Amino acid sequence: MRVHEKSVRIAVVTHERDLHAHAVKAEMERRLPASVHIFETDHFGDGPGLSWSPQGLTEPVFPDAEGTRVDLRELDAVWFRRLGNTRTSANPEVTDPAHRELIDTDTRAAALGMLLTDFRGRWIDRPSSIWDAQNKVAQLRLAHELGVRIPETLVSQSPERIREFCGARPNAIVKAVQGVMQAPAGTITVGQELLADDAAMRLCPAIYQEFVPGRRHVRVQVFGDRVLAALLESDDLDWRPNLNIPAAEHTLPDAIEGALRAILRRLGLTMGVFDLKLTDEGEYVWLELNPQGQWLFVEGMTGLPLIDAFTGFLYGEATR
Amino acid sequence: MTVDTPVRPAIFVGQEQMTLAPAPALAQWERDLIARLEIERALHQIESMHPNETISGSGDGWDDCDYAR
Repeated sequence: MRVHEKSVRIAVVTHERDLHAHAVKAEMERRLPASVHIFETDHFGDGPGLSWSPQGLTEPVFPDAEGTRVDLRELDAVWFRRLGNTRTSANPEVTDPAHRELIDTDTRAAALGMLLTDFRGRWIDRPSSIWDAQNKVAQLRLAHELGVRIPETLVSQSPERIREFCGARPNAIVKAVQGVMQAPAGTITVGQELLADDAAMRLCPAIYQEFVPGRRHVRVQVFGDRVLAALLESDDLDWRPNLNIPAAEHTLPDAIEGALRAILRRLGLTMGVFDLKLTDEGEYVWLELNPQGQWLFVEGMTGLPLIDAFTGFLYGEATR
Repeated sequence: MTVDTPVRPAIFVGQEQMTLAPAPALAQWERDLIARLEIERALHQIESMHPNETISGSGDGWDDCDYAR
């Protein structure tokens, strides 16, 4: 620890078993004059829980994972990583799905309200910015406006339009506009079975895109000014289900780095995790942005010093 | 988890849901990380995290926070 550095208190808003949070806390407290509190928001009911009053009848306190009562007014920064958890192991005695949903939604609403009301430090990042930014429709439009190459895209639930779009683009893909935690779905090729199923297409909009050929996938972590990219080599359309693949550090062209930073600035974000694809012709194609995407696994696969970089970034934000 | 249904949304036509393959090298790296950083909580002993879960410690799926509200 360097003694001249400012001592700060930082909180991570997340859920149970979040290895990202624990890794950053351990690194931060080892290296820097900082206390990091992990708020497992799905386990607030395990202890004293939340209490709040607009008249100030109680202190605005969250219990952290170690049982410490943390006054939100005394925090320098909040890493807003996750809020709630529909699949939590908490409250196993509650089996009614509606009751479990209520516990999740009302805890999230109360916790968010308390943070928005009483926390006065720096957000990494503001919840409203994160939620606006993770909308894939908005992302695609912004990336397109900023001149980033994106796949030709149709968001639709019209069977006629979908068939026309996919008919003109061999091997077109389909993916969720947002998806649901209860049934994560990978990106898949549009098949004849789907194109013949009007009822399925009509149920809700999905994202249909031209197929971008190539096996070079790029995962880009932007933490403040730092850009750390990894090249993941996979023949699969969606590399996520199988991480037993070659991966290595990757250097992006300055223009691409600049474009990604510009996207974050426009969205009011200080960090983001991008998915790109690098074609055989050497062109980078933007696929999506995850404002609070996972990145720890990239360090495990490539050796990129992401814990170190993120810890420095978070400390820097807390001391600004 | 999707169930038997006469009609399913487009993204589920042709796939049930995303399934993750075990990634033993990455899982071992995570366990080494937990030991190196002396993270007190026994994350590596959580049954649901082993052996498929190597990303977030958040369950058996991929969580890029797409679903948050």
